[in-house]
Amino acid sequence: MTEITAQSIDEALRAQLEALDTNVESREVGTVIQVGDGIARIDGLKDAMAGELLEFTGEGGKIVYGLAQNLEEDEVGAVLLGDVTVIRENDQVHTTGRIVEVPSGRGMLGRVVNPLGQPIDGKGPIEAEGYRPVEFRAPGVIERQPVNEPMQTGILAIDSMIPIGRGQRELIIGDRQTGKTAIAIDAIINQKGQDMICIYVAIGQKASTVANLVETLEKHGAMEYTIIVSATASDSAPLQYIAPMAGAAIGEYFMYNGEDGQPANANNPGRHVLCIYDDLSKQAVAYRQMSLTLRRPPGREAYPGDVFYLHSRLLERAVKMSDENGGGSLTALPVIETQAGDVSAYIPTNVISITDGQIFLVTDLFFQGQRPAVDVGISVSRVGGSAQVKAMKQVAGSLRLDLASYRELQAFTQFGSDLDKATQQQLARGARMTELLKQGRYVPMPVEEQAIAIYAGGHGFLDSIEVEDVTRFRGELLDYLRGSHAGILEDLRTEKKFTEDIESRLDAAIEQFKQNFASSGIVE
Amino acid sequence: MPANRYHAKAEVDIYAKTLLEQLNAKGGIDAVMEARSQMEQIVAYNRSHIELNRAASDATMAPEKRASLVKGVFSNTSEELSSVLGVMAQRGGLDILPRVLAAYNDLIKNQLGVTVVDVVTRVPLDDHLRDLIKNKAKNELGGDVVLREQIDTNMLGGIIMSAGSRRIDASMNTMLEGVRTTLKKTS
Repeated sequence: MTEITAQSIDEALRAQLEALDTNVESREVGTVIQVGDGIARIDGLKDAMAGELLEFTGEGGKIVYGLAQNLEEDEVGAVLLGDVTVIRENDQVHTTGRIVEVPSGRGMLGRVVNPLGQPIDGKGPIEAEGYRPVEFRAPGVIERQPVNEPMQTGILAIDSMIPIGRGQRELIIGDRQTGKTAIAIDAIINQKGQDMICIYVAIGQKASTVANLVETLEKHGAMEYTIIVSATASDSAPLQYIAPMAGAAIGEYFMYNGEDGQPANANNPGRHVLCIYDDLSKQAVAYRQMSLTLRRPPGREAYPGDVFYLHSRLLERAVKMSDENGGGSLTALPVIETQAGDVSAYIPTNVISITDGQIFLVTDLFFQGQRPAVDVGISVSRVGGSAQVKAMKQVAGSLRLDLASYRELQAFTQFGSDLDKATQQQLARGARMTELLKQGRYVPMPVEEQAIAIYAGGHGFLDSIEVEDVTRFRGELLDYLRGSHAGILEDLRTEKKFTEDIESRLDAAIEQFKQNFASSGIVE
Repeated sequence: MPANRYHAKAEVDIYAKTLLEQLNAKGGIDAVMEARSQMEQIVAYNRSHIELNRAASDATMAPEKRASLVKGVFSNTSEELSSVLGVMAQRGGLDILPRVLAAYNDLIKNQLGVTVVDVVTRVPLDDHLRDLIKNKAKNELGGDVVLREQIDTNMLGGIIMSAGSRRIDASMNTMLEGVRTTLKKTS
């Protein structure tokens, strides 16, 4: 422990006193005309800027911050970010000349913070390495490069058919209780050892749900590279509104800076960040509440006209930077909750059109036991294909089409039973491939194991296995390979593609495993 | 208040101009400044007490009755101000009073060439300090400067000056608050 001496106290005091600023500055001051519903209307502040941080001096000199939103002819409409109860009419407000900033840095890893970056997990203060503005211009075309690195979620159905690249914006959409958050959490857990920093932004959720989530991540050792930004349902609408932007700002710090905290460049690579916004429908609702109380004119579904702009400027911040700019990335996984599968509602259509693809989760599949309940027919990834590992491309290339034709045939065969051999075979294969895509929670699979699982299905090794045994077969096969043929997995991991040699060794290994597995139930 | 904002602005300007011209003709700059203070107090009071505003714009009450009610309430203000307030109540309410005050302030500056500087101190200003502040403000803001002095016993010392929406806070309270924040921040 460091010894505290009179000299060290003296030095500390001197340093603090030197930091004192005794200059008197001229400031612009306004007066609160009206306050209520988390909104304040201010007289004066003619030079206030849209989105500027305002400082309210409330009862007993208490400082509360607000955001300037409506700049009108005679007054300014602002939303309050802190304790609204201390603000009264006639209180003074002044402009600060800056916008809301959040602290960021490695000190935030493993912590749970509110949208202002203040810790709420009781683990003490956070030492910030820097501050980032919550609203920040997205990089332009020249500063970017196309998505070219995979962001593995560890989920077979997604990594094979809806691959996500680092820097992509992939929407997770579905009704309530269809496993949207589960996908996000699995994706975070799978980032262990992948040099990825994860930011999970919880918007409008129950505080207990967030606490459970933190516990789950801690249990799986994922909190050490994760930051949780929490704006729960009990937080004010403005806090829920800025939460995703605060999450993006915290993430941007890592992307724009290298490991050493210095700006990223060709010699100092930026970090890779995964940002999950769970969920943007609740952010839109909070923004609607704010806008209506600010008396902005309502539009479709009573949302304000600029709700598209709100989401597009947030998601445009997802980026894969060019190598000259450090090559860092910010992958965005926004979540949208639909009502009774209605994707044509305002917010879902907006976010679908902004993102580079969507993972669509369906209630029916969920209750049929197909989990994750991804509807591969309408889920797409528009840019992830170019970032997919070659081995996966080789085996999963036709998987989506095969499954689509299986679904079509399956619907057809419900009306009759006389089927030719080829159709029966296609149905049997389809059923096994569908079963193969089932996966439990918190058990992400490395990409080479995913590729092998699909390889086994695609090359007919599962055709003689009972449908009920497919997932067991997959698990035991991978265990067997890990134990007895680790070389195949290692070669596939390094080569990243199926070579003739790997294929022949793999075929032999699977055949060998199947002979031992067959006794538990083989189709005659 | 008229729905058309240009009409509303014209109405506000008429109230402000009428009041200023009448008061200036009657009592000069002192009367003008007195009415300004009274209007500020009324605006501040109305913001935190909505009842009078409601009564003054109550459509179920006859316009004449609204006017007499408002005149009665503000009978201790100058005759010109209470008349203007009465007309406002008769024509719809006191909602536009803050805008009238803003227009009135603009007229004081543009028409009379006077800048009003509010000065808040712990102890009364002496002549030397008064001249010093006046000269400084005149150099910075131009035109004639009228100081409006206020004593605030909650202040520890120093001075707070404001002109329009600009404010210079050199009070001891704020300085000490700055010290407190700095000492809290530096580790």
